[in-house]
Amino acid sequence: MADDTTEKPNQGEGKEPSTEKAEPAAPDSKPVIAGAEGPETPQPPADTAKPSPPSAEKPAPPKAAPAAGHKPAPPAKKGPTITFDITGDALIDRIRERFGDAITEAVATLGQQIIRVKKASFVELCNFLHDDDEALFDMCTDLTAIHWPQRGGEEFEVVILLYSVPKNRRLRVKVSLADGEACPSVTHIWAGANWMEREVFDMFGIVFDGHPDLRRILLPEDWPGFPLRKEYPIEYRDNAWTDKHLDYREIDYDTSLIDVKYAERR
Amino acid sequence: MVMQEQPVTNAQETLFDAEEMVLNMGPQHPSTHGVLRVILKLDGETVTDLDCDIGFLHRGVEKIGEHDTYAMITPYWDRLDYVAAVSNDLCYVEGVEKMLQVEVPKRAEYIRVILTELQRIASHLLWLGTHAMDIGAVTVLLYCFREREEILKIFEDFIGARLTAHAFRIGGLWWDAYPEFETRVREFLKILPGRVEEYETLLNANRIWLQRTVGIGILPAEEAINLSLTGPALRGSGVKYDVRKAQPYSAYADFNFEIPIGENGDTYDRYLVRMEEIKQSAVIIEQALDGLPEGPVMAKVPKIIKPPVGEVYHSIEAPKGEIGVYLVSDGTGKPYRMRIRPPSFINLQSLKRMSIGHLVADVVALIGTLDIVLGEVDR
Repeated sequence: MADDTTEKPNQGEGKEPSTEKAEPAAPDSKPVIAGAEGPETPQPPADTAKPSPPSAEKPAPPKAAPAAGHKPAPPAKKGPTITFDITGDALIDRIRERFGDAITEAVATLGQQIIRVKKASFVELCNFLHDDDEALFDMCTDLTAIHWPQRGGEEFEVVILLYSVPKNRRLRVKVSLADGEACPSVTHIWAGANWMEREVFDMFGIVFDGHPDLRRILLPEDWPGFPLRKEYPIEYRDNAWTDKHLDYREIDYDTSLIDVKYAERR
Repeated sequence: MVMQEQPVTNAQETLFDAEEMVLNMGPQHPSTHGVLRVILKLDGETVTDLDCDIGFLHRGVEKIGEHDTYAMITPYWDRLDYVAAVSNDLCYVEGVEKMLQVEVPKRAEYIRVILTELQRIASHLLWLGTHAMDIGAVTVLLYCFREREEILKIFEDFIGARLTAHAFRIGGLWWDAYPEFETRVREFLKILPGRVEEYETLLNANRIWLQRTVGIGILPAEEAINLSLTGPALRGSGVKYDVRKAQPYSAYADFNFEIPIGENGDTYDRYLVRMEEIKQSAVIIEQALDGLPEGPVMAKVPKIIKPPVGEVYHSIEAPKGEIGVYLVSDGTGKPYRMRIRPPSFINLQSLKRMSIGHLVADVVALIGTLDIVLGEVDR
């Protein structure tokens, strides 16, 4: 099972056994943290990012990858794979017939069906899946996103996990987006997607067009950056934010001074 | 409850003339079961709008998951829904097993079912006690904690922890059941029906209880599904969806049990559904104990877990609803992405729909009936 014969160019580097720590990717990794995504994300200042080089190894390897013209679908097909194309499924055939080229991929992983759709047909497909008598996906179980910084031009993947109560089946719909590209909202189809889309916006910075109330949900409104993007370091402490809101600004580590400040505040 | 602001315009010069009032409930309010802040817009005592402010307990479990190995992540799951730690673990552990295509020994699966159902009873008892206390019946809380204590003692002897019980590992169990485990569970099952009857005597025909719950927060079936509601809250609306039956996991296919559903979709029906679920859990545990096979409790799993490239979604029926894990593997020892489908978070968004038109006091009952745990809402 640990047989690593997959020929993904981007993952070849990260996948060699026991390279997690030994990999000398340090020179590459720092610039990735500091300024990878450009203008969109407010980045932590370079000096605060210093303590976290080990956690930065993940985003580092993809640097070389985009040149290979990497497409999301094919690599999973080589080596020991758990992903296969769907053939002979009535519903998937029906969807393919209706949407044609807009369905770029229809695979099954461990028996779980996944279809990938072009952004232009995304809402139409969702409407179809909700209303069609064969599909009847009346529940949006979950909506989330994945960040693939190594995939140039389609860095983000919004994933909707659908469930049909009457048919008792699940389907996953994926749509790829470029960084900064907005995703059409599906809240008008499944009201339950409301908070899930807000969470994706909160964690990834993906904007949902047509969402009735798109704001951050778990993090404070003025939080800088989007934590679930790969370039966001895990050991990052936002001192500016804590200073502002938790009122530690004037306290340095002189204990006598702390006492004074406490007394003043009371 | 603290008054946050009083919208005073020319037409509304004093608070008493004002037609609308904004009321800030929480985050430090006993009935919000944690640090949930609810901002209410009131017309007199009637709720006209509502907004939930959450995230006070956010600790970024999904981000942490991307930086830990598969085995290291499990304890974080205990701390999501911290009154049903065992159920959370089952979800994650089975998700990884599904990806590795590991077959768990039958004995381990049966013990998992027993522990998970005990956890469901414990979680429902805690819910019943606090829900009743929010509405004004303090006695029930004390009774519920009496029975919950018995379950926690069984957990403590099995797992070593009462709250963040961490019994499962990828591939099976940490330990086999201790010698008296079976007798102690059976003893508990013997006392349980009488105790459940006690609660029902206290509440089912209690006039105050009925007035506070019947007809409050009615949610029709289609709307409940559209709002992605799961668990007892969905079944209270009459939708027969339970992951244990719909897509059986672990050893649930081996047992006979009923899925209780409500008729009207109000707070009282959701109460009845949960009470019935406690009884059904006891039925499942009894069958699992009767058929408990001998054998190992741990499958052969590599020391370093590296699932093949791909992704998986696995969900189970937790006490709060459908908890799910969506794992994306890039073939390394750490998940590329770990998404938690938190039932409490998703159920909580229906609070707005349910509350509008009701009184402030009913909001307390409705937060209770959704059975949320803020550790899971905020993650």
